[in-house]
Amino acid sequence: MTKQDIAVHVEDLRKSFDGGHDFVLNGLNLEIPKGKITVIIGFSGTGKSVLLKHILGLMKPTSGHIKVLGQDLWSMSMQELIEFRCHLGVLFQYAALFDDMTAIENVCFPLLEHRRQLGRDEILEIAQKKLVSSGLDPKHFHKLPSELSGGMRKRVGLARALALDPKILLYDEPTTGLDPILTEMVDDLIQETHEKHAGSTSIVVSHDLFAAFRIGHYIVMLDKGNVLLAGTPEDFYNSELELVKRFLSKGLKHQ
Amino acid sequence: MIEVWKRHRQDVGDAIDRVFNAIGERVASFFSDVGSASLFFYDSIKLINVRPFRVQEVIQHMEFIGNQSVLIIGLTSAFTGMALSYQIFLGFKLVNATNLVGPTVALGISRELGPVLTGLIVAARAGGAMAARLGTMRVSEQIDALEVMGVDPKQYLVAPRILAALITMPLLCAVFDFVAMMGAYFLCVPVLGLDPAVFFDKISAWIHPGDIFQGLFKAAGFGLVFAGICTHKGFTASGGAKGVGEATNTGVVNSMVIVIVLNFILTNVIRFFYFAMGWQ
Repeated sequence: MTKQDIAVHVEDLRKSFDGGHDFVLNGLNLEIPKGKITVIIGFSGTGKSVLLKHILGLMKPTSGHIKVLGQDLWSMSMQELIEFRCHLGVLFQYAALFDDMTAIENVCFPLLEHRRQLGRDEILEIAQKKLVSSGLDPKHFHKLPSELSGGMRKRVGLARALALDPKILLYDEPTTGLDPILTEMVDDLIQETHEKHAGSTSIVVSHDLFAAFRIGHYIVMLDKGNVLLAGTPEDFYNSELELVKRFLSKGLKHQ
Repeated sequence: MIEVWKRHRQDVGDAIDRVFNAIGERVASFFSDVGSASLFFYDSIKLINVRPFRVQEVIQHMEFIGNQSVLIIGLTSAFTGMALSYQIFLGFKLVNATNLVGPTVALGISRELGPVLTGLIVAARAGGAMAARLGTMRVSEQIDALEVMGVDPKQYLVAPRILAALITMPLLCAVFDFVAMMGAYFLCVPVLGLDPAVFFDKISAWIHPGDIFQGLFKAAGFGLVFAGICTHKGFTASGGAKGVGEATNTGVVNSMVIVIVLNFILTNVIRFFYFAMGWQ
């Protein structure tokens, strides 16, 4: 991969929460390609969500570097980092919708913050379009998150993540806690969204192996805070690594 | 025998070690907490003056802290005024000085009870709600979502709450002072038979604007303190519902203790300042 083809470049990333005794991420090196759906998988506690938080700049590494779209996150000032994050959209595990705002207000929020030059009607129109393209029925637009089902909340969360047309879209365990039908719906939504936003990069953190092989163009498997294997789904099927084989056999049998 | 004695000595040594370690950890954790809360407070105060100005949020929080506290402040202050004036009336009656009940109550209320009780009540009501709200937002990743959207959560969530508390607390304290004096008046004059002219005359003669202003100033300080502590506790909450509960609890308890301690410090500082300025 050339520099232009890389969306996220992680170099010797280490993260410890206890002053350097244990490392959740232990010298991790990774390159995530632009314009593709990359799925980060691994057993529980291997550092998937911690890696995601580092990519978002929500956690400061103990050591190492992270470049997102060619920018070193931790060489920026806090103000620059805040502005840079507008290039990133995130669908959180439980959508993380603002519970005092309706569905449409949630989607309007980033637009009101960053597109102040637009009028209220324009903002409302964009928000409605994003919600419709995420598959939310207009009759739910004015409901509070507590009145929406898990799947609807994910749709609103996705519409909000897409509001500012981000260059990288990140999904943190998007199918956790959903039934198989909703899981498939969310997977389809990720794929459709990626296809609709040509050139955008999608990064999905998941423990759902089936989804990883269904939607992922590029898969990264983490183990003990490091990359065990990164490659296409075919690379995984052909891998001779014992842990990968075990993960695949258990994961696919389970699903 | 010697072996037993040696083992016993070892056990005692270990126990002493553990006690000192525990004390050391508590002290270190206390100073670390104070340091991080001070930095958090300083950062948030700086953000009040950063664009975009959060006028709408400030007004919303003022409505929550101020408007929604008026009833409880009114109720508490009326009964405080009555209870205080009754005790002072009984005491002064012994020395035939019941004409001094009005100004004594007014001094106590405006300088001490007004700001302190307003601080305690609002810290419990609004401070607890602030810590719980921000704590819930933290554990449900809403604060992370704000950050990822390119919105500074301290500027959006914390700074408006601190500013709203700073503006609202003196107003609530003024309400407390007024209603408490009304309570005192209605007990002393119609019920206990004091002359209304004496009650008011002595108050206007003895109470200076400085007495009222020092109470309002203290109330503003208490607003800063409880809003700073409770938002910090909520903002840094972790560990799900249990963590939110702990953050709310420690936020309210710490705020209340610090309001009481700060009141004593401010009383002395203000007295010293008035004395230095030759005002009293």
